[in-house]
Amino acid sequence: MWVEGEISNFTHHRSGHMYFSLKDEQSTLRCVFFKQNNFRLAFEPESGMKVLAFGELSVYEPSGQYQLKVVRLKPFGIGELQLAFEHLKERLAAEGIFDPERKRPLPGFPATVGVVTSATGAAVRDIISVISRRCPPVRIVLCPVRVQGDGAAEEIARGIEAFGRWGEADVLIVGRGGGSTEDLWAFNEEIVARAIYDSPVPVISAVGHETDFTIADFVADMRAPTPSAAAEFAVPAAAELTAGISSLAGRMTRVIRDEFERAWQRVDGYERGMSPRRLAQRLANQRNRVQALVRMMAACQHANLSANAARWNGIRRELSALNPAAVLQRGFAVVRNESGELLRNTGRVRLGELLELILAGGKLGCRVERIDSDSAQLATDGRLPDQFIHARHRRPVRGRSK
Amino acid sequence: MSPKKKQQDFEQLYARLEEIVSSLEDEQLPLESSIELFTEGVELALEARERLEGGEQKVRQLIEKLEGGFELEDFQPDAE
Repeated sequence: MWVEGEISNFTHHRSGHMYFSLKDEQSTLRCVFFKQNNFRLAFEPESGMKVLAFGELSVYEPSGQYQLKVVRLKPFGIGELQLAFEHLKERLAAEGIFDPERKRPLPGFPATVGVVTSATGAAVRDIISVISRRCPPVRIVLCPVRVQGDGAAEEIARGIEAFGRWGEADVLIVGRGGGSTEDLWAFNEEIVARAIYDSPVPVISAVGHETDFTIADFVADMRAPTPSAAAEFAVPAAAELTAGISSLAGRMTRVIRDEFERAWQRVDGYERGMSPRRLAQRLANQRNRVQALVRMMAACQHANLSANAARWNGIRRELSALNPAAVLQRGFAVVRNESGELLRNTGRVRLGELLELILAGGKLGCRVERIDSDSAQLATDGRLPDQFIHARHRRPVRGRSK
Repeated sequence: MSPKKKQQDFEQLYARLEEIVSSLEDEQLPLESSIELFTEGVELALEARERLEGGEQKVRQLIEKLEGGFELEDFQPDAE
């Protein structure tokens, strides 16, 4: 028989048996709910709760009272599972397990995504398909578990713990595809909630459909409405990053082109004034190299990189070769005598001789007042000490200088 | 290098590339420094692109060994 009523005088005895009365406005019925029948109850009955009790009527012989030996008990009006859910949620919330402050950010570019779900459901296929499409370099590692039925919650929790101990996953997706409330129930179990809470790896929950909320969703660092959505949250879109890199490469290229053009104009000044052919030639080479680099950059903005990488390495070696403009910029000077010869040492220099010094920003005519053949005075940073050159200004600098 | 180490650096690599572009655009640098930065930038951009073009998707399965430790096995998603 089913009896409907409100619980009063509820006691959960140490023995595990439950004793209470069911009341309505007019009557009271004593009830006993033995341990062997009540241990699977998903909620904790309490006084004041409206319930439906199923059992058989018997007589408690010592007092001669009728009593109901309850074998099933259901909350009245609210589902049993719903009630259990609310109770656990309340309890865990009070512990601070759902606090937003403890939610961790997801990694921007995970190397490895760990997945705790069934090996056979739609969920694992959806996750694999989204990640493969969106970001192929990411490694997917699955820990297959049962996601419903007896023992499912324990398996899910063990899967999460295993990823924590393994240590190579950067983010976890924990979930399953859609199903009934009962099917999703493992994700409402405390053991799963605690495993997510204790996980050293950030967890994305993905249980059922958009409208399904489980305890796991509240504990997780992020809740995804579906397994596919979880996969999207877990990895960046490689295509977007590629576009971002191309745009950055384009901006770099514009800057270096402009800067090189300005530098080239400065060099034109020397060329017109002095025609040091060799300097001009070097700068022309340098321009070629930068232009090659710019072409490389443009290639980089398109696909098929691996073919270009070898070529790029060659260009880079060339670039690191002597770069005269850069050397002048560092504070060195090119020195020529009156017959236009480049000087590499003091050997053929005479006192009183007129020399031309080409600097980054112009040139100087200088008369030699002293000759020290020892070059040890060069500063360790490669800059010439100020007193190294005793120069007397002979004539204003010709040509364009900026 | 383990894939973890390598890929974790991707964000740093990308951030450095962004930093280089802002330096080039916003600072008046000597040509030599610009070329140096540009060269580094090209290298990073190539490296980043290579990583994004990474190989075919591999799905593995985490196996906890009885004697402790873990190993990975290939996983066939359609093995039902």
